[in-house]
Amino acid sequence: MLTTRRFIPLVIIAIGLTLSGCDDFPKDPAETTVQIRDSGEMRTGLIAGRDQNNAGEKALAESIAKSVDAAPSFEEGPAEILVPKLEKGELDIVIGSFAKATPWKKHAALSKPVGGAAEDSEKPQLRALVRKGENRWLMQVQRQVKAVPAQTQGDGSQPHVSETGE
Amino acid sequence: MSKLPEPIRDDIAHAVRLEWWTIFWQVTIVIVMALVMGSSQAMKSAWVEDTLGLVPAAVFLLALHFERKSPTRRFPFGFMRANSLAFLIAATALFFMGGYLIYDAGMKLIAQEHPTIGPIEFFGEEIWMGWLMIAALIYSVIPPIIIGRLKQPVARRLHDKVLFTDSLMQKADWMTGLAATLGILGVGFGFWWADSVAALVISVDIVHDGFRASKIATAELIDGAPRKIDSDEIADEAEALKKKLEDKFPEATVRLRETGRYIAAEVTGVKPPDNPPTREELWPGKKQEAWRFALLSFAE
Repeated sequence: MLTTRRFIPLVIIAIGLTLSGCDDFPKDPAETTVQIRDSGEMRTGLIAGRDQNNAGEKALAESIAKSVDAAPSFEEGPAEILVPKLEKGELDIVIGSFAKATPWKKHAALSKPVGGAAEDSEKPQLRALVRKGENRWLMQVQRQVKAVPAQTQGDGSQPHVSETGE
Repeated sequence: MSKLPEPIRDDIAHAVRLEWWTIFWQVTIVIVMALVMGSSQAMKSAWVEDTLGLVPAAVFLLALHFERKSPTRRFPFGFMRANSLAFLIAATALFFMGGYLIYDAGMKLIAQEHPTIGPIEFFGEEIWMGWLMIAALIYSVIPPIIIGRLKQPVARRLHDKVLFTDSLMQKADWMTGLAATLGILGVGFGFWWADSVAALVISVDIVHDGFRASKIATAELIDGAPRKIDSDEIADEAEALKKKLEDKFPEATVRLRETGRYIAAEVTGVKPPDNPPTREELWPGKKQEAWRFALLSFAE
């Protein structure tokens, strides 16, 4: 690439056409997707939600894991504990209700809300958080999050912050 | 000097049109880049550079407005140097903005922050945002390169340093686009540092632009000798003019300075001759450029 500077636009378009058909572009710098596929386990953090058994969160996790031929293993807790684990790579994904403008977005990459619901910057919406920079993984997660229907959602007016597990 | 010299009016009008085109295209670029900037540091730096690209065009148009203004009682020498002052301010802004971006990108490298460039919905398809960024970057380099090339000959004829620096910055814009594109592609290949490194390269270029521009503006503000348009060396015509004046007035001290696009000469230590030579006679360069020699003064 470096040796063909003069043909930049052509080279870029060529690379683009080649890679856009390609499944492993963009890549994950920390190889999250590959690791999940290899181990068959998607280490999932569940933010304690508004309904006791976290049905919506779990269903989302199942569907994402299935898309990479893996099964989710769950760890429940508050964001305060789960997000730092995600940052360190000890979890592959955290699922919970977060507003678009959540302060956690400094520490993790946010997917869109489930079911392709419209973004709301203030209201918490069920979505997935992945480790920053894991771009291939984020794209994979995003596709599934969009496909899952949003009907398991409450009205979302309640803040999701857990009263359990503190 | 309340009016522009006759021989350069057409070129000035041309330059004004080019600068308005610059502002128009640059604004569209700034908007397009802002839409796809995401959390890429390289995109952020490129966007800042695109935004700062508006500055020389604005300075040129503003300075021209002042250059045309007649001297007033409070400003008896006119406003020709407003140009230099505005340019210095712009250069300083470039310099510090570039410095800030170097710091910003450097901190991200040190913190090993991995840039997230995720998917975006594009006509119903989830595609990688990086492709849109690259498309925006390609768009962002095309108008500046074309307009920059068109400006250069006009800037040389007008001896307009703001315009010339502007054209140089625009012609070099492809490097920013390439650096940022490589940064984004690098991230796509899993090299998280590519983004910050590209941002660093772009930021260094912004600082360099600022430094170059501030050198030119400073030389003018502190009555430096007329410089060549494309370097910090003294212009050949200025040297020749100085020599001519020294030959004519051997016992005098001859000093030249530059005010905007004009050259002023001061001959000290002799009585003003009864029939001073005209500036056209003295001008050593091409006839059509004699307008540059705008002032000849004698002092004892």
